[in-house]
Amino acid sequence: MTDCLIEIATPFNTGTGFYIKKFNLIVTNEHVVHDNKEVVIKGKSFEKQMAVVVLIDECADLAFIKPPTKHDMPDINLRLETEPVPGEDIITLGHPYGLNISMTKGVISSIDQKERDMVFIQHDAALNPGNSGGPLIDSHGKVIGINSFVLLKAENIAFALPIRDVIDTFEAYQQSKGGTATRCRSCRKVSYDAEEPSRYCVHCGSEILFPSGYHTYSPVGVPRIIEQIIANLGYDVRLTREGKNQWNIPRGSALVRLSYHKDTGLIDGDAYLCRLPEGEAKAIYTFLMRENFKIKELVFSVKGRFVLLSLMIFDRHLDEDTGILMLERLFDQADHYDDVLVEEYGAAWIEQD
Amino acid sequence: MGLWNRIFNRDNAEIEVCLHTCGRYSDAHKSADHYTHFDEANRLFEKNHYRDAVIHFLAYLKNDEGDNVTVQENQKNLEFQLLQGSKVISGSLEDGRILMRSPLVSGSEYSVNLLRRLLEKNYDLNYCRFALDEQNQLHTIFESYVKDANPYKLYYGLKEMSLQADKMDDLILSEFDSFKARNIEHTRDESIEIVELKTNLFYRKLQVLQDNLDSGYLSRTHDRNIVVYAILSTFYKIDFLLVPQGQTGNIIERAHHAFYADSTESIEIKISKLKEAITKLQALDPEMIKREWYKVIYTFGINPPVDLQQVQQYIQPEINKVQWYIRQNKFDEAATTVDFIVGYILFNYAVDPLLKSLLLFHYRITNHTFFKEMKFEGDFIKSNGELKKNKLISELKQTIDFFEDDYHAVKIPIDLLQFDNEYHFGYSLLNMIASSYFIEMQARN
Repeated sequence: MTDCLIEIATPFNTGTGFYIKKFNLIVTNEHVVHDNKEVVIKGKSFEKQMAVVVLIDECADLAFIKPPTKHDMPDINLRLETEPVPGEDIITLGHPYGLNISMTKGVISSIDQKERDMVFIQHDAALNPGNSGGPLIDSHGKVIGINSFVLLKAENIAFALPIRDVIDTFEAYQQSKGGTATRCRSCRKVSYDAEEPSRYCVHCGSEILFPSGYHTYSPVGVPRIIEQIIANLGYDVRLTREGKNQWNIPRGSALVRLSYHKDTGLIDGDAYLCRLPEGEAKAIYTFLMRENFKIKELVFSVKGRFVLLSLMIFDRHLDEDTGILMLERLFDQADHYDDVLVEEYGAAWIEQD
Repeated sequence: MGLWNRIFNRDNAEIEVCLHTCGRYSDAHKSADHYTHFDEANRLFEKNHYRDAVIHFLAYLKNDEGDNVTVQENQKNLEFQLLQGSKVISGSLEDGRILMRSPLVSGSEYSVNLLRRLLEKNYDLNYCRFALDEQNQLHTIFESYVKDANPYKLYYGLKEMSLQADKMDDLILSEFDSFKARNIEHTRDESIEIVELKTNLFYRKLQVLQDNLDSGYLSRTHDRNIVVYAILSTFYKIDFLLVPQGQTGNIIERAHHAFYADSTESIEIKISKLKEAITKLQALDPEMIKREWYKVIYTFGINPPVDLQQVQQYIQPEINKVQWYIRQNKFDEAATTVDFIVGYILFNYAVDPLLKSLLLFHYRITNHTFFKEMKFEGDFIKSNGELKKNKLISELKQTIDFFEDDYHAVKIPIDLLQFDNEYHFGYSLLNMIASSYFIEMQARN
């Protein structure tokens, strides 16, 4: 099941999705992809990449995303033959707070909770930000819904869209002849931008918006300069975004995390070099402290089990040329030191997951 | 003429000397001249005149006595030193780079836990870092390409580095006996008389507190807040009047932070930790304590600046407590609460000189023997223990007049003061401050 799970990120949000082979689509919540024509997806069997949002259904909080062209995601079992019943054990899968796959257990509390003219399954498994769009699964491993929202300030009251509604939307979407589609909030009919590029539903006249009509995210101010620097260093900046003020840049065996702190005007660049050795750490600590005396403009530190090499830039005078020079230096030094730390001090490589 | 220049050019300005010798250093209230230097540093930096920008920035950092910063210029480079408490920070501008270092301690062996703590600290620091040289000396280091070192970055960077340098050596030396302090040749010892006076007051304050906890009003009360106020206000008073360095200062600082740390600990546990701090202070070697009253010079202050309005917002709900205790005839509790309010403000905030002077009147009355022994002339207590009302009013008016040029729209209702006894005076002093209005003209925080 986890092989079909997909981590989804936009500059504004993170969430979960899962692949349904029968549809050849990734299914998630509309609020996860909201306002984005394309999103970043990452799964077990494919690299992080951009993917196009092909359908949105705001009323059901449902969205379909085009899957990667190359992947090994297996089929997933959908429970279509019987309805779930209250008291039934369930599990949820997702990427809460952008973490690796997490599972929570619970029980179905109700199967007919009405919200926004839709009927949702209510359950008590713990859901956190990032879980949205993940599958709700029965005790036989079959998907019975998509986790959509929770009641704020309530103890584990969560709601999932029943899988039959996903099937229903997919069948309506199948009429599409390419392009993107949207399901009208008013009449619930599906419209296609290839055929009906109007801003109004041809069936009922309500205002509608296709995913293709969303603007592409474009940062302003310091984040804009940072993204220009990242692009000039040869990266697809969209794949490095972790929100509006953070970027993760893989570099060899190291991962460089850039963060912009608007309140202090500081830009941190943290290169995660390696994990600390399992045993005696004094030798590596002494080495790092001595290197801190020699190295220029960079600093070695330890956070949890990781060794970091960091730089700090003050935003007032950040320009592209200076930024590129400083980041290239960080990259070069990170490449050099992670080898030294692993080969001479017994540190361990960080798995790039 | 800057504020402090006027202070030290004026004869018999007792309040000003008190201001200078008591309490924590603050760099938050500088003169117009200082701000002119900072503006000039910014202007020159924008025009890419980096060396001159740094020179003006260093002029901005100078205190009013001008003894905390020294600069040596030559054609190739610029060298400078800053004093920050027990540490000297040495810096240079050479080949387009600013580099500042301060050796803290040296030791033959660094334990794995100390190295780990320093490396973790490096992650939390924004501008500077801890580093070890080949001679096993621990340093703090701040560096920047001068093109990236605008005056704001320099200020925050040097401040972070200086405060870390000043604190970390004391912490390491207090935990690890084998380490030696480095870079302390600039500290100056107090006179033997002052050392004796300060040591006596230190033990006296702790003894009074211990007696009250053992058999005085604090042993009989069920009011746990008043026990906290009594202990903390004693710590704050020691910090303000005696300005301890080293371990004494660290124990007080840690006790304060441990009490206010966001934790789920019960008030009983917090009180027991405060009592442990009292025991630690009592157990300090008296000869070591005497060595901790040394004189130091600062460049950066540790406390955040606040204005009168922010202090008033803190005082208002607290003086209601004092009023309640007075109505209940709980005069010890009322006096303790006043003492706590004054101590808390002076310990935690960088208040402007006028406000500090007004708050100082509370300590000058409740610790009049100490001030008398320290040869300050203003004695506001008659031999029968009554307050000298006329002298107090006269001194307050003089103080307000003295600062008038540096403030806008000063309105301080002296008529709210009560002179019946010490705690009535303290309570009414806080009421007066809560009803006052004034704005410091040069404040730019």
